[in-house]
Amino acid sequence: MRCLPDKILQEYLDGELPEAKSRRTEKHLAGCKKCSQRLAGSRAQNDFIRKKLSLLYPAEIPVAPAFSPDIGRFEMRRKYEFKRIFTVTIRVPTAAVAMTVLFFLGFSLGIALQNRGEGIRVRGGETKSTPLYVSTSDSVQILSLNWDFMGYRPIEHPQSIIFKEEQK
Amino acid sequence: MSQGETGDQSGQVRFDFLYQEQFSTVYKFGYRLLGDAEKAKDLAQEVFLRLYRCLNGSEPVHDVRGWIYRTAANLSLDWIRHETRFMKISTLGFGRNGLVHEIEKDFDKAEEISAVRKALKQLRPRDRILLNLYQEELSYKEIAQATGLRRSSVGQFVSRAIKRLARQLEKGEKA
Repeated sequence: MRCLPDKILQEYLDGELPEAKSRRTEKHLAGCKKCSQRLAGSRAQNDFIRKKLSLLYPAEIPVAPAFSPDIGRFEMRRKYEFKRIFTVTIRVPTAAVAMTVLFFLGFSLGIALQNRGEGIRVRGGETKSTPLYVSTSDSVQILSLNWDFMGYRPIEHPQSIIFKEEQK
Repeated sequence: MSQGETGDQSGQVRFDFLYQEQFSTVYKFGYRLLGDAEKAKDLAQEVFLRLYRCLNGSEPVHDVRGWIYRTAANLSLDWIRHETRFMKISTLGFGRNGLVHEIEKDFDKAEEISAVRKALKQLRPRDRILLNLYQEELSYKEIAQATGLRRSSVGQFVSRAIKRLARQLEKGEKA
């Protein structure tokens, strides 16, 4: 007859075998020295583990606190933990990304504002800044607030533009 | 008084009775598994909060003891996994309210407890819960209900978990 598997020995030790199986196991144990030694080993190990685990019993058991269905301390703690984790793992990178985006937005807004009024280039000449006014609106294109930074477009009639410097 | 109110009252009485009777069971279970008095209390509170909701809701609870163990086991499993993920349990595996207090009382015993906890921490969460239930002297049927294992597999899993823990304890002693 084949030797007994650990599972059967464990079930036998715990008294979980059905009666017929238990009798068969006992019969085998009576005739198999190896299995009876294993059984003794398992029993000793079980006792050892039980003894060790019994050390973990609390020294005292508190009285059950007043129960209120509105208070889920465990849930509250979890929420708190989530908040803490959120702070560390998500909030910091989010803040960093937000700051970067804001910085670039501010930077581009600054450039756009700086370029305001610089979008007039006299054909064949250099770009002049800060136009005071333009006399014939149909002949010039003012690219003030040039948000897309696509560059300047040439102006058909440069004479019609009067610059601050020239006015002086 | 209407019938509904009477039903609610008897439900409340039943819950109060269960709470007083089973609180220590869940507390002990949680304490052994999580190693901290506060956490054990929190676990018990959460288990009974869920039981309260179940008893007052539409979900029927037939085997209350089994239900309590199953819920406690699932919650602790979540908790252990959660804490392992975020490294929140101290490396020694005991909390400020548990062992520290005991250390003051009895140093040798505390050292032994610490060794057992360390060894347990090396096991998989499922094995830890299984051993905890086994220590409670639950039947295989109850263990199967609490863990979701098949009844016929419980012996095998218990046997393996015991061997693993014994090996870890041996390793700890050698180290």
